[in-house]
Amino acid sequence: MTMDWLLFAGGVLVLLTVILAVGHLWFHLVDGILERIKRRLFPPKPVNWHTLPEDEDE
Amino acid sequence: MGLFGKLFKGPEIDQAKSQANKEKMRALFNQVVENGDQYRLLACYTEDVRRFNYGLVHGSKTSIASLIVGWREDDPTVVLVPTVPDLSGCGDPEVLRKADILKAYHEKMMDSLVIYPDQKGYTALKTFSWLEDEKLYIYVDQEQEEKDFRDFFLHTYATK
Repeated sequence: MTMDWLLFAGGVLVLLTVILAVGHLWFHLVDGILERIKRRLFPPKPVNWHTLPEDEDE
Repeated sequence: MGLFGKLFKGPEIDQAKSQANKEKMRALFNQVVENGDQYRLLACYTEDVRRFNYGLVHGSKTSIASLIVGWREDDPTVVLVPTVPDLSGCGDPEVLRKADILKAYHEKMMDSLVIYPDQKGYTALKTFSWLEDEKLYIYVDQEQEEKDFRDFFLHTYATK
């Protein structure tokens, strides 16, 4: 009886882990595709960037 | 001080690092803003929260951007200079004179200081006195500066 419960609990844990992993993969897949489409359609404006003067940068 | 004393005392601020970063902020600000020494400085950040619903997965994604904020009380003006937490560089400044902006106010729910330069968009500033995570925020101890800037914003710069 105890062994069955342990197997059941282990199975639930594995299932939840798989759901979490698939959720993450799905998020990164969809988000990556949307981000690429967005960059193609609306390329970001180039930004003027000023670096820290050398005597301040130790 | 014993182990428990140290635990309850919380993290200690590295004042040398904070001072070095204040000097870097000043150097960057003065590099891109004319008469930069006329402004007092504060490190702030803005949060961009994007909610998503990708069918299987719902949630939100937050991105944080650091800013050096300069302010002066005579001819009330706020200057926003985008930067990065390690202060290796900065972008072009945005000068926001009170006389030229559409509106500025304190948003109480998020505790943000909101400035609308015009009707096209806005900037919501989040101030802090010190934050430990130096990968996300500028490492600087600025309790007094924060208090002074908030006083200035709420009593002089805000339009309502």
